Amino acid sequence: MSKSKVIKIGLVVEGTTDFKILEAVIGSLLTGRQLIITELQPLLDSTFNAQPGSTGVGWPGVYRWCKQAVADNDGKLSGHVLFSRYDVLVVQIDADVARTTYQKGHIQDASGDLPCSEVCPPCSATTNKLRSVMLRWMGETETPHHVVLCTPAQALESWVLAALFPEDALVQSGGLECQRNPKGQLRNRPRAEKISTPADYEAKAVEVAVEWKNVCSICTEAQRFNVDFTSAFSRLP
Amino acid sequence: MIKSLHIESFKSIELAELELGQVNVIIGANGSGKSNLLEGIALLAAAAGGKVDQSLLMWRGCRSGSYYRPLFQDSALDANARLSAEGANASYRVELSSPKEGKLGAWHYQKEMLREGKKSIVDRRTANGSASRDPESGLAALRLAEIAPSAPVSIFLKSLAAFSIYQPDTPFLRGAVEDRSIREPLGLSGGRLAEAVDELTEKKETGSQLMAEFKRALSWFGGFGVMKLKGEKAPEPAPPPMLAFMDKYFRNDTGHFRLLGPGDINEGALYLAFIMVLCLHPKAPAFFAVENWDHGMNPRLVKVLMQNICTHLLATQDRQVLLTTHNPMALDGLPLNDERVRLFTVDRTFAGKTVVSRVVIDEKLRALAARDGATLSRLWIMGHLGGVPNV
Repeated sequence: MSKSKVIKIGLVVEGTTDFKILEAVIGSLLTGRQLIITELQPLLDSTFNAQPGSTGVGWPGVYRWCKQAVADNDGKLSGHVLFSRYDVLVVQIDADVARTTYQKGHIQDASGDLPCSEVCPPCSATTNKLRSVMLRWMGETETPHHVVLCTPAQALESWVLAALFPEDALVQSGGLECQRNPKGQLRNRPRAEKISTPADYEAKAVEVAVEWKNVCSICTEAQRFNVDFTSAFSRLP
Repeated sequence: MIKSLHIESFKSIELAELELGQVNVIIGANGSGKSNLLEGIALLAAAAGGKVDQSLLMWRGCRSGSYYRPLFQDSALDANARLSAEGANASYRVELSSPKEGKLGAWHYQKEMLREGKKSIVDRRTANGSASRDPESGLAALRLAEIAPSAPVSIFLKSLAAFSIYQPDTPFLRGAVEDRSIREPLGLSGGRLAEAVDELTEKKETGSQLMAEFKRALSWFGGFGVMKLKGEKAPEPAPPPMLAFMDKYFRNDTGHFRLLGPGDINEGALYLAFIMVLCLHPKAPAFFAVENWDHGMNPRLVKVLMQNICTHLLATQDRQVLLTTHNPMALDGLPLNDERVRLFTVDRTFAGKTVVSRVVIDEKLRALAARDGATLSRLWIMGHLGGVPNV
């Protein structure tokens, strides 16, 4: 692929905090490339939070986005018109979604494939199942070439914890990806280190990107994302 | 017609190449570089006109700032702007060095080439001994004096040199503020609107077209006119004429239509009049850009107006326009199946560089539209076309 080619990457994520972290990580993975990263989801409506063109926040938003895209494209995501513009599409939901139900997300879906959590460790037992659920949302049985699934365990906040606080006892214990509430861990740090608001996460996004190799060595799902993204990128014409 | 443009090393643009149609719509986030792109074209136009300095750039609608070179960490601080335009039978290429930041001097021509077909009309390169020429004066504009006005290269260069960026603004349209960029038919901010409308109504065809536009777009429209003070009691010099509209629901004390003067007119009607003058007036430039044309307009009006802009401009075939918009409904008024109408997105890369991409209507988009009634406005809002901010 020519180095001058502008790479366009679309992100379908649970929330704006997730977008900021992934944007910084992807930017660091493709240093030196002409790169445009666009947040495709969530799109919020201040009144309804979900209307045509707006699908809501969190994993239900990702679900609705996938379903809408699939409905627009004969029941599957591959070949969707958005790939006329985007070279790679990243779809992210946290692994803790595996413990919830469609009903809790105010979604009518009779498939019964949620909840799908398994005993952790290993977290991959759960994330493998969750990725199959995501593929069903996309009308696919295998991950399309230009799609990268991203399933941080148990949430993307664990990557932030690993990047910023590698000496933390939980990180050191090796059980970080099975910790159910990494967000709480960050919120409960001493005052000077506390990370709780979207602005806090945005301010730390670059640090997460800088420490990405360490994050990958600690978090298996970060390493999986790293490999999958690099692989999708290498397949680009 | 300008078929293609090349803008390199100018403001946030490292490299932008555009294959233009006749009607070109540009969308992008605030700060993505849309205005920089238009100012790059204005710089090229000024060079084609024979001189480039701050006042001449502002005369063409550029902002008054003084940063021109790319300011990226990996950009050469002495990078020259390299610009070119190609028409069907002629091309113009120039390399310019800008004054130092904060200085107001003229730009220097480093290289300049004008060609008609394969024939070289001007070929100025510092390396081949032309350094002794005045670097502040363009040769192509001077050479034009020796060429027949009907020659393709003359028509091409004049069209390019005429380029300006219009940016209508309500106080100017109302005549409440003097437009210092005044020219025929309109000032860049909207000054001289009443005179230009008056000139359009003097010809039956353009007067009828303007009347039809108002009727179609404004449900309250009862008529319009241009009020001029005449006769012995008129002061000298006569005050400028004023545009007036009639609201078909309003009457005065005697039961006649009440005229609404420029201070009372709905601003959407003024912007509509502005854009129609540029579409219909015989003295409108052959090549221009308009920003903010859809200000104060209901989205549905923007869609219809976009359709009508295309209809009028494509019928005239003698003018070419670039329009920026932030209104998604403008896209729904674009007949993009016509190759003469083109849509471009402007984005900034992760490193902050402006990138311009054409939205091509391919079979997938057509199939989606046929199956689900997808609209370009929806695709844009959803981010499928690009040109959206991450907010």
